[in-house]
Amino acid sequence: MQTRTQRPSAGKRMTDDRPSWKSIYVISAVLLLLLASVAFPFIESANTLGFLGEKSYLVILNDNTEIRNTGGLMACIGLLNVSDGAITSFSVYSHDSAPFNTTMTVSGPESFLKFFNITSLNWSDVNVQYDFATFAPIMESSVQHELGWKVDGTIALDFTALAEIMKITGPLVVDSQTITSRNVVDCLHYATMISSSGNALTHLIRGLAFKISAQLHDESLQNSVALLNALRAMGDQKHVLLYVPGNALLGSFDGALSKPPGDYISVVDANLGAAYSDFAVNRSLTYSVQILSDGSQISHLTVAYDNQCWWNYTVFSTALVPAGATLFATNSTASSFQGALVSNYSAFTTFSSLITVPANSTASVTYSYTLPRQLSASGVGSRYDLCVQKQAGINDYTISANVTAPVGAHVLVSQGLGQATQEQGDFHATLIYR
Amino acid sequence: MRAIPRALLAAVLICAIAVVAAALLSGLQSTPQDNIRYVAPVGAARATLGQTIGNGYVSLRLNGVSDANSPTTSDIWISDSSYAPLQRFPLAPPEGSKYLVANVTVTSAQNVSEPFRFSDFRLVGSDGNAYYPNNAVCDQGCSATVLRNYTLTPGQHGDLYVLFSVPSNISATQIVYSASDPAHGGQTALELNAES
Repeated sequence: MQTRTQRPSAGKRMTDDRPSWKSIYVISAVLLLLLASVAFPFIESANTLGFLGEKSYLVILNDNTEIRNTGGLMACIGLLNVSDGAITSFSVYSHDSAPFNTTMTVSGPESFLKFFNITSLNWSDVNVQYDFATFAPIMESSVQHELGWKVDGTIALDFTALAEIMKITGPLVVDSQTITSRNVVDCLHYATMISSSGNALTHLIRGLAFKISAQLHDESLQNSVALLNALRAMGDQKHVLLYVPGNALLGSFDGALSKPPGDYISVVDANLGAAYSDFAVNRSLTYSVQILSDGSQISHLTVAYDNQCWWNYTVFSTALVPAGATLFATNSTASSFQGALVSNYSAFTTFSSLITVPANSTASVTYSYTLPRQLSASGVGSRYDLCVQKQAGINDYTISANVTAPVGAHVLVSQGLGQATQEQGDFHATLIYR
Repeated sequence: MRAIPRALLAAVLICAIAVVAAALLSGLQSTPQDNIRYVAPVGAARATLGQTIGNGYVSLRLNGVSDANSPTTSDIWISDSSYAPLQRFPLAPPEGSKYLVANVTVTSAQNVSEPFRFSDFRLVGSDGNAYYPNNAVCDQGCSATVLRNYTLTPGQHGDLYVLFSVPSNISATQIVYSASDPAHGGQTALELNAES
């Protein structure tokens, strides 16, 4: 019986082996559609970035050794014109040269303006919004209004990204000075300091930009792939930020704060007058949550700084947590501390503090707060999710999260909790209990 | 019988494609070299540790190379930093790296001002690679103008501390000063042995 049922099947297969032009057309059409669906976003992105035509970009070089809300002190601001992927012109202005050595009116956030009671800042200090996606359109509007620059988007990269790029390009010689991935950050700082008008810095930046661009065109496929990989990794870590509205593929690199369902933390720091210190300041977040039987929670968030500099480190630190949080206690080990100021927004509640960490020392602030129910249903149980979003420009941080389920609950799943983890990107943890 | 060779053929093809793709991708994704192999300049003058040597414009003596985290070196760095353009420089190196500081006594050998840049120094590591300066401080003897203006004025004499970032397993074998020769063109090079 078995043999008889197999024979017709084998015969049918033989019949199907004969060429069928109709099926070949259908398969080819499906393959072409698949190819187009994959290729189109890349072609669109290549077009957006000026590899297929002419584009103008506002370029911001963030000095993340002096961390600011959207990635670092804006060391340089430039107008980059590209055509078919090649730089046609690049005007660079240092933060302390005209027109950027003037002040401009600052729009939000309320926590910053209220804490310092100010309404205007120097251009280089205006990136006080909590994410790049909010700041970039404000900056684009400002440069169009003040300087007549009409741009297709904004590209920001920080000193970490520049050093990573130079690991690919190898050493570059600018004005007979050899710049490597190991000394590029200090060379930029040195150029900033030796010239009060910023000429040395802008000269060096332009020199590096053109050398890197020239290498991109001349380099082997191996280097180009390595460079693309490095840029993608830097984008994922928010050291490269792109604001190009309307491009789905590149939109994920705009550094936007995205509040997913569940519990959420983002600590956004601004170094205030502590110079080039942030590469020598280690951050750690310690978070503990007690979920109550009604699903609400009591949270304790400790933000600690280990200052390895031989001078004091002063930071304006803001913790963004889910809207509806109620702060009931603030404790700090800092020698000088002001805060916490609570601000409420539609998506977030923020706690802001001004902390001074003495030289070669540590200091921390702990916020204790309650949160309304942040749980979601998960089958027969309840699901708690935590997302900790990394600030743009921060190289790394340590996080330790502990979540305690309600008394009597049985924990079914625990992911990412309990252990200190060295994280370079966003952090996620989940607890499911019944 | 016909199904088996086809399956084998498909498996062999898939394996071959996977092997070729993996080889191609691993080759493409390997990071290019970021190091510069040091090649001794032709005609370089050489000195042992503690010996003074000159090129007609400047005389140099390497007094030693030490880790920036050693208390003596960090104390000197911090106290002399007021004479440096880049005053606040954290002495905590990135992970996997260390900072080495070369202490060089610099003396002007001319009665006119001469160009002098600390960026013309390089450190030759025990791996044979050249490393380029990150920063420098100098004591009152050579003053900040040497670093800020890239100029050595007549009669200047002082201690310069040049800091290099190197991989944490690398030690210094030489400190090399290589600069253009304003009078005769070309380059002059002084190789200062860092090992006693």
